[in-house]
Amino acid sequence: MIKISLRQLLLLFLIIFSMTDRIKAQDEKFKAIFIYNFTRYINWPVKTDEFVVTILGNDPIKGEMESIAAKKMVGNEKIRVISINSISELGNCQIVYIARNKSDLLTQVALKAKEFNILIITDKSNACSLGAGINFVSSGGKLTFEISKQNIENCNLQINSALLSLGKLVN
Amino acid sequence: MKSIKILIIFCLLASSSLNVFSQNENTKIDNMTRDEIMNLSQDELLDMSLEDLTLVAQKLGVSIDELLKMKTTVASTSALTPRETPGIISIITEEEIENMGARDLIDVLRMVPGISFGYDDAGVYGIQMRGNWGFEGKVLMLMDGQELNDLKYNVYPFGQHINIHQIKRIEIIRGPGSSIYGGNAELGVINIITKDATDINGVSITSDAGVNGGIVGFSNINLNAGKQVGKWKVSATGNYNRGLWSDKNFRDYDSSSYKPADSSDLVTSYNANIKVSYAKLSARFILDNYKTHYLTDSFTYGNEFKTLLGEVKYEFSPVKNLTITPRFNYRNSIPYYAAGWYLNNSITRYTGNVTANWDISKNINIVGGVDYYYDYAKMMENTDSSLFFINDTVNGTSNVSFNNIAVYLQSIIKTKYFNITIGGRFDNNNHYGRDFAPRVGITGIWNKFHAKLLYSKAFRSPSFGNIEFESDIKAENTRVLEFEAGYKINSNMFLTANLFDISIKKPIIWYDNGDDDCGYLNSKETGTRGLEIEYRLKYVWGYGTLNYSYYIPEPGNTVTIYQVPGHDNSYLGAPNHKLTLNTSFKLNKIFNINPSAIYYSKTYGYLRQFDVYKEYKQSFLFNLFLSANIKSFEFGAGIYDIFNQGPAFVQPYQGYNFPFPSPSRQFLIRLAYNFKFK
Repeated sequence: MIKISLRQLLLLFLIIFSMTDRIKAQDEKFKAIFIYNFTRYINWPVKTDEFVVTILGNDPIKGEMESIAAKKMVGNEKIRVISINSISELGNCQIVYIARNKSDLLTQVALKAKEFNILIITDKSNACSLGAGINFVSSGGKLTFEISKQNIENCNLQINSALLSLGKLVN
Repeated sequence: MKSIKILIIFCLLASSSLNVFSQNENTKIDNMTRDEIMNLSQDELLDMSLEDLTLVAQKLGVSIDELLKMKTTVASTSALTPRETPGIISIITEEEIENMGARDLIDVLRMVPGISFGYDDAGVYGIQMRGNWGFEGKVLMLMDGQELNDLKYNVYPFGQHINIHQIKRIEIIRGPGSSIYGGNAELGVINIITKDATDINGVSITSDAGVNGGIVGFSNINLNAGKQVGKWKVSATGNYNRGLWSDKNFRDYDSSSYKPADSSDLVTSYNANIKVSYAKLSARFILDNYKTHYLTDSFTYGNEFKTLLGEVKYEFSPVKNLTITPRFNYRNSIPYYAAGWYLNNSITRYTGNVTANWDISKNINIVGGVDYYYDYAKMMENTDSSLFFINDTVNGTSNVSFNNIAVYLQSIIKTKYFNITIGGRFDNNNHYGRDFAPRVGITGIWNKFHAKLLYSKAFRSPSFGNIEFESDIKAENTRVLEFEAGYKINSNMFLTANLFDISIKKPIIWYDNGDDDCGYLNSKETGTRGLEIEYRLKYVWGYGTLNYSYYIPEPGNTVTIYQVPGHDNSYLGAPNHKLTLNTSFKLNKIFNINPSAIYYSKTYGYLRQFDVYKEYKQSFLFNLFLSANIKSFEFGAGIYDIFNQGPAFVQPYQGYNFPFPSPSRQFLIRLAYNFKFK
């Protein structure tokens, strides 16, 4: 007769749960691919040797971006992904992605973005009204994005109108 | 312990290969399913345009709308959503059936509000609907629209019968359906829709097994195959199932005690379902065989239900907005068959039907049709004792035939604020006379809120088995009043509640006074009234359904064999309260974990041999099933009835039978392989 103890059952559940990916991993994969696609619709005023994407804060999107950077380029520029934890570390880059755990730094980053022509991408509600250029919105598994033409142009970036039609425009 | 080690090794191996890729080339976004999108690789997504990527990201969304927008035809012939349809309905999807680790239809249907099961006799289980014993001719079982109830007693035996791996969806009317389906749809209709050629598009093979009490409780194997080439579609399903009812002690009607596990092959069934279609012309054949054994201390006998079904139908539209469907059905039924038994009957029904579905305007739809059937019943054994019309002046005939013609019409009128459904079906049978089943419904959807008010009459036509004992027996007539209100809380949650009042006049009941004084008669009245509530949620990470059912007997009930003395608020074998929870959680791309639970309040059974009523305490079934998908393989393992409470199946009337035990805690395993054509 097959017997099963409570301890054995708990051990089995621990093993299975320890292998769980966060469901959000699917979101991160898509966000990273969206970010790569955005580069095709935005022009930066200054060309550099490499295209730098900065991740401000802790977010699994970093791994996804690094995976894309290994195989894709933006125009003729290799993609470099760097990770920082404070605004003082924010240097020259083309895109800064602000993770949720650093979203309170948005207004300060927005000031630097204007100075250094940086596209700000966020994942926090109402972020476009606080200075973000593009904000991801996730609801019931659906992933969409909001876009603020004004915030993007304030950073001296040129935006292709095709991108405006694909996202939700926010004033 | 060994099985746990094997399971752990399997989990560790599975976690080392987390990537599952779709094999599709030339994928069109619009036709992609959510599962296909989830399986797209990073490279495939990077190659997409931003427009396509935006569409794909939208399709990742999961909401309760997937269920609320599903079109069903079980309650109205025209495809309507659950909130629109003029009936109280339930839909159970393939995903829910597979994830819950269901072993058979009993496990699936137990999760539906108002449905429970009892034991009839001779190793046969039957269904209860909203507290009413629905075993003989009161609940219509359909497979792909073809009737499965036998033609002698109109019963459908449950328990290790239909293999669940062929099922795409189950649509249930939890109320009367006679205005569409006629005389076996008095209390409910259950339509099992199997996977078709486009769903299968390949070959799949699935096998389940369960171990309980140290024995193999059940095992089965199912094969699905299907392919579409141009306008041709071909699909075929075959399965074989065998098992034991229980490993626990059972007391038979002689009061002898024994264990069913001491014998083998107590239940076996096999089923084949083949469909061929070319454009709108289709043909389907279903072979169904179910054999159960009944043990006593003194002898063993088997009951076999043999069914052969065939259907040919064609849909055409002579003018725009009008669809006409002529259909021919063949059905042969040999129920309760035992080799050489002098009562073996074979009954054949030939049915011709024409249905027209007409959208007169954007707001008015009419469905109508004519249905004619011819039944021929004969004794199968060479015997001098011919048994049709035993107690009638027409004594001693070995074959008999009936015919029935029906006309039905239903209109749905959509106004700005609500929809009105008016319809009815008129039957004229050459033996038991005429019946009319009208239906009136008002349904409305106002943004997040919906409501339905429904009034229906239904009937249960007497069967050959009833008429055999009492040729003057009349049809039962039922009046049902239902009200449902529902609220879509947000895009992921939905709540409904409904009230019902069922009154059955002239119910056909079995009586047995001993000394061969037994048979069927029309009693005066029975029925129930009650409440059902259901809450559903669906997210990317999983889903959950919680429902509660409650009934009390109709105050005017006169059927004493259903009553529990001193407990006017209950019928025999039918718990007043039922609470079910069915959940599924996506752990990652491979694993789902699926807990489910059922609570039954106490119930009562009559122990005739001792002339006493026994109270059976409340029970709580908790089940857990872990499923995994790795490329073309599916694995599953679980435990049914973890706390080993398994309620017995009580006989819901004063019969001769003790309750039939359910299996003890059962360990389940499932293996499947799916091969998809490109």
